[in-house]
Amino acid sequence: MQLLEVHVNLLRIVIAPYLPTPHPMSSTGCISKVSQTWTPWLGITVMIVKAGPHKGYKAVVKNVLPGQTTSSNPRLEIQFQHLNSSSPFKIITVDYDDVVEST
Amino acid sequence: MPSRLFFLFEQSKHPLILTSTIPRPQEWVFEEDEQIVICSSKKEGTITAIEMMHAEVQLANGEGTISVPLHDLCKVFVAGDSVSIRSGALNGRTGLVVSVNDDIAYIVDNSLEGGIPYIHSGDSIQVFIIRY
Repeated sequence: MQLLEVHVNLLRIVIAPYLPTPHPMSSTGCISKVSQTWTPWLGITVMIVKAGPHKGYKAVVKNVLPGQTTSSNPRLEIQFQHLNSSSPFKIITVDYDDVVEST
Repeated sequence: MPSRLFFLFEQSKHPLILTSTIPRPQEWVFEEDEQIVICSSKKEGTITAIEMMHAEVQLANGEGTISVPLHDLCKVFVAGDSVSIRSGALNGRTGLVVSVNDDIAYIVDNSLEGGIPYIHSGDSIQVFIIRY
């Protein structure tokens, strides 16, 4: 494991990436690693289809919030990709059912 | 000035240097709304504005706003924070803060291929510390 020792003033808080529960250890005792393929929605471009001010805009999935009380259950944190000088690259939270994968 | 020179000046403890407003290390990055602690007074606050040599800091507990030299600021992080390194030799790397000792943060690097390894409580692990 690599531990980086860095002065705090070189750092910036970022949104924690969504990491699902990793698989248990293999029978060989090797340390399994969290694979990027286990976060299938991250980085996917979606289009908002729910009626409202954001309908039709494209965004990229930045985080998945499982176990929500909404009917669609998971919610998604998505980041707009279009230019908006007042709130550039704004991140909003939407229901899973509010978006479809964009081609 | 480069942080290497900054820390050499700081370690000299020369009275003229200690009383002067020296520039911050060029690698340090500050942004508004960041939580900081003032190194000299140990007071905590939030950056409200950044100028060339100083930052306006809103002190915690309603103690008002003061101007503080940038080189006297340290950002506040706690274990579990997800961070990215914004400058220096490790620019672009991301990870999780596991501990903070004074002005040094120890980060588990998750920007390498495979991300953070899954570790069972009974595992024996070897840790390599990379200092920059």
